[in-house]
Amino acid sequence: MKRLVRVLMIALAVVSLAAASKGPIALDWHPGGRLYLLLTNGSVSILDETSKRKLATIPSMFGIVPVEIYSEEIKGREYVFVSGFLGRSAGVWQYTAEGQPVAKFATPEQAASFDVDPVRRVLYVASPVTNLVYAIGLDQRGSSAKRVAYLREAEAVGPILFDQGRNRVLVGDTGRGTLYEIDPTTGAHQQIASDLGRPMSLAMDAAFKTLFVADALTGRIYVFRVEKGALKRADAIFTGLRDLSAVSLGPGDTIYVADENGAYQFSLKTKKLSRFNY
Amino acid sequence: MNRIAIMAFLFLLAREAAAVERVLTFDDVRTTDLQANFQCDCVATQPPAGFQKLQRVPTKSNAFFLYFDPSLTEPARFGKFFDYTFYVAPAGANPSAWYTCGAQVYTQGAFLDRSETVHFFVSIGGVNDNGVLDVPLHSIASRDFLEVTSTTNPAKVDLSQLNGIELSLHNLLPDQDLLVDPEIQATASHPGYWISTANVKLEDGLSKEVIRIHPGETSLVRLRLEPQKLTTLLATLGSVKPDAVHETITAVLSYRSDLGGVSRTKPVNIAVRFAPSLISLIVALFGGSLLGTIAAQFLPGTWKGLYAMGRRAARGVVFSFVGELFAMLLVALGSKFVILQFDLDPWQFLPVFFIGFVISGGKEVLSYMGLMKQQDAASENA
Repeated sequence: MKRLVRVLMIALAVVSLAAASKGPIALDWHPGGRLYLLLTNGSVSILDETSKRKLATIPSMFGIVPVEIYSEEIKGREYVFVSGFLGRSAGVWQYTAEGQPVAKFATPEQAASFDVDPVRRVLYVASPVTNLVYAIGLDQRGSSAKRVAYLREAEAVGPILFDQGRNRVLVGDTGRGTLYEIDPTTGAHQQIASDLGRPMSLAMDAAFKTLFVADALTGRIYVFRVEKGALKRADAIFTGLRDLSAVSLGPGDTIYVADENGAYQFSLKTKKLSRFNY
Repeated sequence: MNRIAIMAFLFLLAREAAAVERVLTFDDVRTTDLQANFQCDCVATQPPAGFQKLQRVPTKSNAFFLYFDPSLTEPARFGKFFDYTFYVAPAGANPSAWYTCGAQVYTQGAFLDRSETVHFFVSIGGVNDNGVLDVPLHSIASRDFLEVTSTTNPAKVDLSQLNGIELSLHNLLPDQDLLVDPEIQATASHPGYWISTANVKLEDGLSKEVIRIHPGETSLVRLRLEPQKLTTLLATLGSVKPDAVHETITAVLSYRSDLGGVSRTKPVNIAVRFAPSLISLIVALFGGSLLGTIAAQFLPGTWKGLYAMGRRAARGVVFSFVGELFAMLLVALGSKFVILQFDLDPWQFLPVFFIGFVISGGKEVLSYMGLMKQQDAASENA
């Protein structure tokens, strides 16, 4: 009888937890770093990558709609960048790994999707309103956004990623389901993939040889590999998740993914998902 | 062999199920102030949980039903458009197929969030039909949907009752609820007047999670800010004018329209005037009255013994209270309370002290101080 009650209690707890929780909007990890999850309320959960123990929480910013998160080691110190927008204004906020605020970068035209070139110390942002891609110097203060490219044919510019291996900026179009590649030096761009559903998140492996594109529409992760200096579609992994919101590099042969219900570590070998708490 | 055939069939079925189809399309909405464009992608799925409770409309020929869950509507993560979720199923008690349709809705124009009737088309397996559906549409433009005012100007903060500041929130939308976040951001021009300006909340007495205001309606809420009683009383001791502002609070409210509107903020400056507690007013009146009586006793030829002073003091206190009550009544009715050409507020500490002093001290004290001469001279000049 006791066992039955216990089982029922656990089942109820699991059901209530599943009902109450909402998956993270974005997550990020890099080798040697912590695991950062941007939650729907705008706060950031910082986890130990191995044990998934919560180390700290960065509180949300008042009124800001959270969009993207990115972590990077710059000059021997780990930082986390969080972006969001309020109405037509947007920004990227830089914190230490302990959650202490460092800097704020105002971005133009609701540009809240971003990525960082840690070597040149440049922040790349994309505006969904104007389809413009900008570069902002991390060491410059004030308004320093420089126009990099104009994606005229894009419908709804979404995630952006800087490919350090080939010095290219990749931008997903969540409206047309396409992927663009931009040369940040010349501003030249081209469409390199289509039929990606709704590409909500981009991630690359540590060697910058494999690109992962999360499709929120079908729950697939499209895998691209660099062949002869160009990205070629290699695989499409069906995760079975609904409304994929984020994909990030994981340790070993895994990637981290998030959907509307939770965060998971996904094995590329066994194709198995393991959910973790945040 | 059979097992392989079944596996192949299931594989094809699963592949078919995961494929994205153009099952549902919408006409663009074009009005003078609003343009909306819908882009749908549909995937064959299982019936949604609790689909019986969803908003449902049949197509014209009753070939299909279009289900809509407005609660799933939300602004797209990267901005620019809104994500809507629709479900399509053939008519019948047990529909053979269900489609989940994610729609990206792009809106433009100088409109405030509102519902519009949109025309849609369904096409499944060669069967085509169409219908209409009311859909809430949202704007990404930076427009205010919320009007915030204090119920009195300046807002009165009673130092004896910790009621906070009463605000009036008015929903400007024609047919959609506004959801106001109780947590606000507050900054004060004199932070020392308040116990804390962090974690300040709005309360409407109904819900702690969110304050819901129906279309076109006004809701009264209280901004829970607790003043430092003694600090504020001492700091505003010299305040005599009835319309003087003691403090300005800048409150930033966060809100959105119901069913997926964009998060917005509304900054509002609130002029605040502190009202001392009744006890401090009684103390001020009593103190002023006593001082007036004692001051009168020091005038030449006035001293007539302790008993006479006691009688005069008692009389002074009684008349002071009557005078203060009259002053309060007159000011409450919209009149002005003027003594010696000063427009006084009978709800503030110093004016009340002065009322007690003047009434109890009498004409002799005022004449001795030279105030009556000034008054007479001013009357003559007038």
